[in-house]
Amino acid sequence: MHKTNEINIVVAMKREAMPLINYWDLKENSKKFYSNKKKKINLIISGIGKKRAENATIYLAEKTNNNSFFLNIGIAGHKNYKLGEIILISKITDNKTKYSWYPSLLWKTKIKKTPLITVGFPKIRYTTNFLYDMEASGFFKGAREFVGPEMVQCIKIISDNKKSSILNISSNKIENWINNKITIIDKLIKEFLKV
Amino acid sequence: MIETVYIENQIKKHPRTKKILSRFKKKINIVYCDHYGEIFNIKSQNFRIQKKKPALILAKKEGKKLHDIPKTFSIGGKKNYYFSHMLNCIYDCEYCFLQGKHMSAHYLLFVNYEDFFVEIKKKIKQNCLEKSYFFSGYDCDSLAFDGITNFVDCFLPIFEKNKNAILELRTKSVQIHKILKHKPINNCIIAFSFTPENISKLIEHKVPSVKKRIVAMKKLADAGWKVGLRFDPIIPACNFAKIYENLFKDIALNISKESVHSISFGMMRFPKKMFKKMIKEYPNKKIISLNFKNNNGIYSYSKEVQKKLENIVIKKLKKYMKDVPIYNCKV
Ligand code: SF4
Repeated sequence: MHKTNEINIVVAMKREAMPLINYWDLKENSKKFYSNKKKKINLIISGIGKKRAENATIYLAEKTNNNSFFLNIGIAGHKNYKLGEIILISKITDNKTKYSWYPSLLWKTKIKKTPLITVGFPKIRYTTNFLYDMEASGFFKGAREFVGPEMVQCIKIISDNKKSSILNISSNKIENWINNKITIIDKLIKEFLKV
Repeated sequence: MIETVYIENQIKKHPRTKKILSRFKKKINIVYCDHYGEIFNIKSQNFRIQKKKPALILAKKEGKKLHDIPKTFSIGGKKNYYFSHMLNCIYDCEYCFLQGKHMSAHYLLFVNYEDFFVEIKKKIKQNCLEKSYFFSGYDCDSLAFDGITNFVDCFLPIFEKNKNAILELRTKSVQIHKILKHKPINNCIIAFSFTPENISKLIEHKVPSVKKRIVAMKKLADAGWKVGLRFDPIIPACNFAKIYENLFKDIALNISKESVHSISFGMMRFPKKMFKKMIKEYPNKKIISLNFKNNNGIYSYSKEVQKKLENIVIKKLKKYMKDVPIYNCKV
């Protein structure tokens, strides 16, 4: 059996990353690349969009241990889910290519699981029951070049729904939502690393 | 046990899909996909990690559903076919070739049983002058997952109506209650696989004990069912002759010869690619210590060891199961 050593986290925006950087006491190694060697956590801020997420994931993969676990954390929209709700993604579909990835769901967790569609532009209308984001498919494309489906996961926090559009999202709200779920994320990561 | 079920879009409304889902008592997570291969066949999956918590995939079996079986694996028939309504198994035998055969450890269940029935019936018709033998349990355990698949209730009636066919259900499970609800069908063989208890405990993880399997087999035999005895693979171990003799004796004490349709046995054998993959996936396997030799691309025991084991097995079987046909499954 492989031994997982590190976890590589890809986050799109600094405001999503800040609560995580503070919680795990991550130090900036180089621009937008943070880590805590003792905790074996690496984090990169990719920027918005799937291509950036893909490039950042590949960069992290090449810089770290070849059996690392990969995690994408970020915000996403859903028709009905409550703002601030945490979701573990069960399927990622790229809206353009229609290619799908299925992260293995092996974890002991009660967190709701839902599929997600990665779109090229922010979604104003929620036509399906899926979550919508702008990075996960790029992240999966990059990570799956290096590891199997058991080693790649995606956690999203709901930032918009049909009652509260993306126009209402603010930096403060994002930080609050992530801060509120940080212990759950931390617990989940410990579960991931048992693999 | 199962928390995630992947369902192909094309069978999402299939009545069997709905029935299967209704059998789960706990809330399950359902994920739809276009084709099972998107999950089951993708590269770089880790069989061992997945085996800790496999998901169930419900799909439609396309293409050929019956496959020929080499003549040397027959139990007396000339027309032999196997079919797999399911791939992968809830048990975890260290020698199981499934871990070298499939990329994934998820349970893949094909819900379009009716398409299997059509092919089976067609084959029976084609071979109307002789008996056709159909084997289930090559790519899964036929009964272990019956609580979910309802395989027994669906497939037995097909053979009940087609007496020119023989069905062998191969299993290590003791899930026989559904079979016992049926009247015995004389062209159906419930074949149980065994290794001696001490070996089974070591390398057949999650499999019911030998004792429990003998009890299940006895219940079936007492109810009038034909059973089969399968000692495949034969595993060389300390006190080989003694432990196998004890196993044969225990079975013979409980099951009368008249209830036994046939006995078959075979050595452990793997094609080279499969053998390498298995070792890679599961490097701590106890069976690796068995001194495998590459015999023309097939990894098995050396010819001399095989001959020695064969002689012992046949001699002891004849002692306890006189007159029951014995078949040696050779590659
Ligand atoms: S019971 Fe058969 S199919 Fe299941 S793990 Fe054991 S050898 Fe494999």
